[in-house]
Amino acid sequence: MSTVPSLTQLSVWLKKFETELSPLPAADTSEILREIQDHIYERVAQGQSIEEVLGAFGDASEYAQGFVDDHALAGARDSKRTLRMFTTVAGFARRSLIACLGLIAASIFALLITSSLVCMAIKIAKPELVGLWVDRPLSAQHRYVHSERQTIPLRLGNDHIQFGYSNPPPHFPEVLGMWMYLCLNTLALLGYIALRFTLFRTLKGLSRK
Amino acid sequence: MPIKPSAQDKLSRDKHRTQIFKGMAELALLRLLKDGPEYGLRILDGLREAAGLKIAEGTLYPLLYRLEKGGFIAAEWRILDNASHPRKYYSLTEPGRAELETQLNDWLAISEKLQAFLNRGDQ
Repeated sequence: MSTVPSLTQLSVWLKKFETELSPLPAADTSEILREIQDHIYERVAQGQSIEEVLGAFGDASEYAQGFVDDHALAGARDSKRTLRMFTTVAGFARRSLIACLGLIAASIFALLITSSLVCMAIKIAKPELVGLWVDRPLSAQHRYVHSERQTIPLRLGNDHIQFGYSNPPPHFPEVLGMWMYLCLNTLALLGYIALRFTLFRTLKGLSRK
Repeated sequence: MPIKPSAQDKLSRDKHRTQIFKGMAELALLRLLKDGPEYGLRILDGLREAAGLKIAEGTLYPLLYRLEKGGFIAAEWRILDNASHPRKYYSLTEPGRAELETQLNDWLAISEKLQAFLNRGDQ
């Protein structure tokens, strides 16, 4: 192959690479581009052909993706913002098992937080519908009337122990009273800590990968 | 009669080795920079020749970018006497030295145990 088509091939590769690096800050893009360009020219000066060097770098889009991914992961981790970390992990979920598992765990914790906060709001408005009901003795045949289906899970338990929101409330005694606020608060807080821990670990795992 | 590995086997083994090398590249890179600042091409050649890691041409720069963003290495464009143009030189930062120490200890502990395990019963 002659030099002119090779140079064209190089400029096409570099142009594509630059375009794919667009999510990065302009200063980073220009530094990476300059460094890679220098690297290619030095390899050519050492006797390699442009085709060989570009072949070793691989497809420009795929190569740029490594930088873009690192930038996204570092940005999410450094921001320390839960929503940004969550959306970044979600963005990786389709092409990474680590991200997929992290997203599932994070979603469960997010649901726990949401359910706890919704229960707390209902408890303020209608205290009789949120609580912990225990039907003693636990070995007795149950007499619980199942309440309507819920779109988000606001209740945990079985036929003898019910925790959370129930409409109508069970006929057996509610045992927590005002302590229910503390319970819901604690659950929401634990869910939040677990959510952030999961997101941090997932992002760290993805960076290492 | 020994079975001659096919081209497919060789390709698969090369891919496997590349994965192993990629895992070690970070440690080797940090160790290499402990000796002094270096630029991309020289780092790559150093990892290949001195460390024996057959890492792919393009593997290095995303790694350097990640380590730089993580604060483990710092970069500076320099023009040296014998160079025709400025080059981006990377050097180890204090957090980078600490990270090297941690990774090195981890690696030595793992490799020592693994070696003992792999050689058990052979002596």
